[in-house]
Amino acid sequence: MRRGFRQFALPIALACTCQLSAPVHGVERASLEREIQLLELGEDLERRIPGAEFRIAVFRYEDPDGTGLADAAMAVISRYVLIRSGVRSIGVIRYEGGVAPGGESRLSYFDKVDRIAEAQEVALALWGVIRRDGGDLVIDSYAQVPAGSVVKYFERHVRLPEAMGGGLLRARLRPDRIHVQRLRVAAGEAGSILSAAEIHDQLRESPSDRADVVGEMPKDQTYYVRDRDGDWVDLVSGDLAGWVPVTEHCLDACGRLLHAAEFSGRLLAYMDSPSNSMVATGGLTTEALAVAEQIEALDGLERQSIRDIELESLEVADRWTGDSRRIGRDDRTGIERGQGVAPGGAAFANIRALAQLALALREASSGVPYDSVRLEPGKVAALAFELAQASQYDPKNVDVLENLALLFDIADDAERATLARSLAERAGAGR
Amino acid sequence: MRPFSLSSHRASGSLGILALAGLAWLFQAAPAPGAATIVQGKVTDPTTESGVSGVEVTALRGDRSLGSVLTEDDGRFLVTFDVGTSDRVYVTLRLEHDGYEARTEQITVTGAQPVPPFVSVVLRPNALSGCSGGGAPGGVVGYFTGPAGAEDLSDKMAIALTYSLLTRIQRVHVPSDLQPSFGTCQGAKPRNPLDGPKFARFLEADVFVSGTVKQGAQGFDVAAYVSDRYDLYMPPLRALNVDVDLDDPGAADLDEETHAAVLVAIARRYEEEARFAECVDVTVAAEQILGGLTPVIEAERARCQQRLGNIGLLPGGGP
Repeated sequence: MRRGFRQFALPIALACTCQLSAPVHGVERASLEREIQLLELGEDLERRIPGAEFRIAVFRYEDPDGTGLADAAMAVISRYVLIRSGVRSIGVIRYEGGVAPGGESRLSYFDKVDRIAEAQEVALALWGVIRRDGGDLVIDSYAQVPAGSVVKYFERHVRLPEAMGGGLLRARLRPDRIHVQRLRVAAGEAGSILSAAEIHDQLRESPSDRADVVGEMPKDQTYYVRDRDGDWVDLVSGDLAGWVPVTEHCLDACGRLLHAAEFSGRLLAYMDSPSNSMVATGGLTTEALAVAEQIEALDGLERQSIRDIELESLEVADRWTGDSRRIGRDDRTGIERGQGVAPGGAAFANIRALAQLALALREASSGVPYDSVRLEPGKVAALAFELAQASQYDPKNVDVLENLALLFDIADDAERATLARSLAERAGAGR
Repeated sequence: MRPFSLSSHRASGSLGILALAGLAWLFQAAPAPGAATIVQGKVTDPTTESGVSGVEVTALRGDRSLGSVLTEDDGRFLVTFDVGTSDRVYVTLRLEHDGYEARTEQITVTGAQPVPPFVSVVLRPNALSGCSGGGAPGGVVGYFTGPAGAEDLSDKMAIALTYSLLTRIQRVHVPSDLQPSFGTCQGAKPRNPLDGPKFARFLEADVFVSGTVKQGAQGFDVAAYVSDRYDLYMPPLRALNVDVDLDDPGAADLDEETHAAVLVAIARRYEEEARFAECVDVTVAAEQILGGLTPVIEAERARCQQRLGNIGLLPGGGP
């Protein structure tokens, strides 16, 4: 049974000294340029907030037009994910510095974020860009799932029966670089993000707006959550401690920005436990919707019941592929579904192929041991050719190519199996 | 021995040039056997692809001048000199003009016969000094004509293009060495938007952007013309931002259709470099920007798909 998005429910009392043995909710600041520099010198990075089970990197939003919102957006997003993702133990690394091209590194944007994310082995990375457009501000928010997290949390398999070689067919989340939200707000509304961030940094004596301010959250020190009361959390950093609100003062534009944070929080919650459902809410992008539905479809692949595979994998994958590709506004979320090739290239077609295979295997194994099932080569070849079609518009998709190698093997098409294997090797080497 | 020596002064005037050229033609018609070497050629401006007049062309053997001429109105020149009939001789042609970067060309003379006998030279205008796509994928944003403040648009547009397109391209994991960059060149001022592709080709840029800024009803109207070196979009695409404040960075933003067009030019670049998978990936990114296929995107993708190894996985496309 699926649970809803969990609220923070762990009153935690901890100090830095006990972080290795207790759940952690902490935030640490770091310099992006410094860490990139170290990496380019070939040095290892100090692992930040090592005691946290889930660590995420949140990067200062790019602000090329000088809106002054970069720090505030990062603060609001990171605080929300820290408190509201419902993850048992989480560390947020807040990176100062820009990801735009320039400086000494030749890396930029996703590539630069990836470099840090992989070195720090974070589960997720978040960043964004704020630009002016006439009287509006446009805030793009991105979520990036590092390769290690994709493998660990978003990889599903269909195991072939021993009679068919016993190989594993694989499907993984794609895209892993997700444009979560494009938020357009009137410039006048942007103050709500600034004021929320400011209030979030004011430590109060007790969980109330009327309580005395006892200090400001230090900008350069790690802090931890030690208690919670409603929307308020009790933060501690060294000798300083006090209460701050999480969402209470984040209204209007700030509230809408939190939809991006909520999506990211859900991704983390799903990593923590796949029983946490992954959904996209209104105001997010086609990619966010595709990712949410793809995760549902991935989960369906490993269900035992034919009905579950049909409903969760096949039906969902069908929404994004072939003649049944849905276009226009999504009924539930109002998000535009786009048309043509789905976000993630051939990822949905891959899931669809695996779901069809899983169904055929389940049906054939009725009354006989699963490992003795052997599907007709012609049937497998038909599936393989369908998937091969999808690989024409996502030619470097290693999952698809490796699956094709296995499927063509089973279909007794050694030449195509060899070709698929060699293409997979080349594509894997290029990543 | 210098059977034919020309003045190197441009001030000699067109009559003098014509007379000397006529004399040269005479020599060409009846050269002294085994003595006169005649080299013809043409000097072209890459941004207009028309001839450049008044370029001083000097033939040199080592540091010694063998003779010089000025190019005609159509950019043609003819220079005659004598290096004897001995073995192979190397002669340098030096081309100079106030508005262009100087350049040299090497020719070989054997038995008074020059190789090549006709020299085509493209001179880089001084205004384009330091401007080049550098051969890497990407584009150059040229000059925006208009009121004060318009010149800043080029920088803003390059920044906006970099963000919009790099984030698109990185989302499909194009390797960093193939990712495009966008720079500016204020000296690139096409007189006509139709000349944009010529600028793109000369600057070795996949795309070239320039435009105009005019006073509009409530602000400024910014018209950007986007050309590509492959003539995928001819005439160049026109993107219009109406009634904008030139200080507003949004004034430099191009629409999604234009972004998709730039991606297709980048895809063509990948095709030319035999990076067919990246070509397909980028056409998919272009399709997703627009929410659908255009004939140009579809054609580009199909060309690259035909060259992919993946086609061998299809029925009938067997290995």
